[in-house]
Amino acid sequence: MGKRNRMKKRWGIPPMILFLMVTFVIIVGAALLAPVLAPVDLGATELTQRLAKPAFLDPTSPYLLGTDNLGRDVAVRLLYAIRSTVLISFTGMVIATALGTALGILSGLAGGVTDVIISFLTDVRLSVPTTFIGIILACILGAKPATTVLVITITGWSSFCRLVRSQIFQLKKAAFIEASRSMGASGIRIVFEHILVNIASPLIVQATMELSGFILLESTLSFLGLGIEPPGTSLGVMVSNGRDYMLTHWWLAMIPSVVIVVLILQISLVGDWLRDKLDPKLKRIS
Amino acid sequence: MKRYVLMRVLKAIFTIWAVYTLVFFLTRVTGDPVDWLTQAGASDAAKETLRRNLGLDLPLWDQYVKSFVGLFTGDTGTSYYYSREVSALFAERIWPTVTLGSIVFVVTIAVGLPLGVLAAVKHNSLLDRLTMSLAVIGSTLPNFVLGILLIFIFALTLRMLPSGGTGTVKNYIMPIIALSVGPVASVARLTRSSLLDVIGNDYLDFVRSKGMREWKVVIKHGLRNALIPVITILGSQLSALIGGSVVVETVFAWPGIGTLIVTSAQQRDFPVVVFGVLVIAASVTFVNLLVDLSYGLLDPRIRKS
Repeated sequence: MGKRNRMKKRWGIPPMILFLMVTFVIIVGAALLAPVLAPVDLGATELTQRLAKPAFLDPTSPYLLGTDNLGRDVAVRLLYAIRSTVLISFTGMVIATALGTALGILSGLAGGVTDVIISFLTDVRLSVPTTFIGIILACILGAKPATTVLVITITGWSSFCRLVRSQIFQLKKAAFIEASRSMGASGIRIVFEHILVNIASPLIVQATMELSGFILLESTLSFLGLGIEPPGTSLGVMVSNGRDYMLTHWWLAMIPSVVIVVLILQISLVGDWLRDKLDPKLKRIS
Repeated sequence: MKRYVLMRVLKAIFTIWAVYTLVFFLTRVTGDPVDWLTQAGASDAAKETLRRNLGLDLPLWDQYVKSFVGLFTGDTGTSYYYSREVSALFAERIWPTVTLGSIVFVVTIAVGLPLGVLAAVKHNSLLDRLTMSLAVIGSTLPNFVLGILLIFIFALTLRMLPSGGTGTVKNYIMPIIALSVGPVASVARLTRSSLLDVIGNDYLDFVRSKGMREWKVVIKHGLRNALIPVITILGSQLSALIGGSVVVETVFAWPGIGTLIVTSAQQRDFPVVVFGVLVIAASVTFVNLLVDLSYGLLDPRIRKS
């Protein structure tokens, strides 16, 4: 047995998934370090250098990915854009997961009226399409990252809540919870000692799968001009700006578009793999 | 069964009312629309007149009751920005959206369902793998990226299709593709996995042993059972479709209600925003209600209980 096979056996990570993970970490890592790697003023413009070609089209160009209509280096802006898209989506995901889990536990354990109210809230949320919740909130609170985080929280909590609730209904019947309760353990103690531990892995899978949707949501809102205000930037903003120069400078819109698709693909493929790996019960035929 | 239908209908009405009330009060807490509508430095008297004309001088609760009652008497209020009856604005803009949405819905079922069935029947074949790889990419492709890509290829490079606007059949092609790729991909994936779950069942072996042809087994006995999860997602697909239509309408300059609501939100034209969200929430809730009620028709076990 070769070394590679042994590795594969121990971790069970197929090379494709490993590749996706490594590239994701490199892209996101570079983006998070953007203020260190390329400390620039995002508002500064260099009009003499506007719309320079990227180095892959014109080898003499000093700009790897060219410059935009205000002469700003696209490669640098791309790093900052990935940074804000990822930070906003990730923060939203963490809060949505926490809120959904808390409400799911409440709904599952308390039952009765609490459960009915929470499930009604889910119905209300699901009857308004996500994009519209974003539009309304952006118009009320203004287009800023905190608004997008709130939109992600409001639209994202319900799937976690449903998952946790159904897990708790299953767990409630489990003998070890009953045993713990009969020994006099309090509700809070049961939640922290038994329930959270048992729902952790389906929650991680769900959070990963939802993250790609949140990145899509953030890009869409900022594409519509509802996510982030200049001079701040995000992937959707870059696509939207590049749109006006499609005919002559197609790469301005295409580069950030490709990055969005790559990020979403990486996360959802890793999420699929993680689902099969961590939760064989959820495994679907695919 | 009657009781079940009644309860579901009541719950749907209550949901729509809750959305309406929530959006009404949320839009009103953001500050005085008059400040947005008048220029800086407008006199207080002018502001006061405008406020009275728009009915904003009334207490918030009276405004709410007035606009709520108005929904039943046909008075949907007046747009701040266009100075026109809100319902008239919608009557003008709703058809482009409904036409586009209906075509996309038909395309989703007409393409997604057969693709899923084909992939399931030819499980693990090259066709199956190819369809599913495309479906994975299709369901991760944001529709604004797809829209821009289509414009770049078909409008700017090949010059085959107009890049925006409405009017001719050619104008429909790109918006339809941009909106349907996602739903087609998810319906195809779900149909395939749901059909594969069903195909392994014993009762299908039974009808096979009677000598029924394989395709008939799949269509008549397999698909009917496999359809239930697919129908379940149609409600959420519609919601995603309406959400996506905002984006696609913006990309293709399509004069529908999506663009109307986005611009109204930016202009703080609250009567239009509130009414728009009401129309959308009502349609999504209505489709979800139909989905719930149609389970009974497809699955006799639910009908009887």
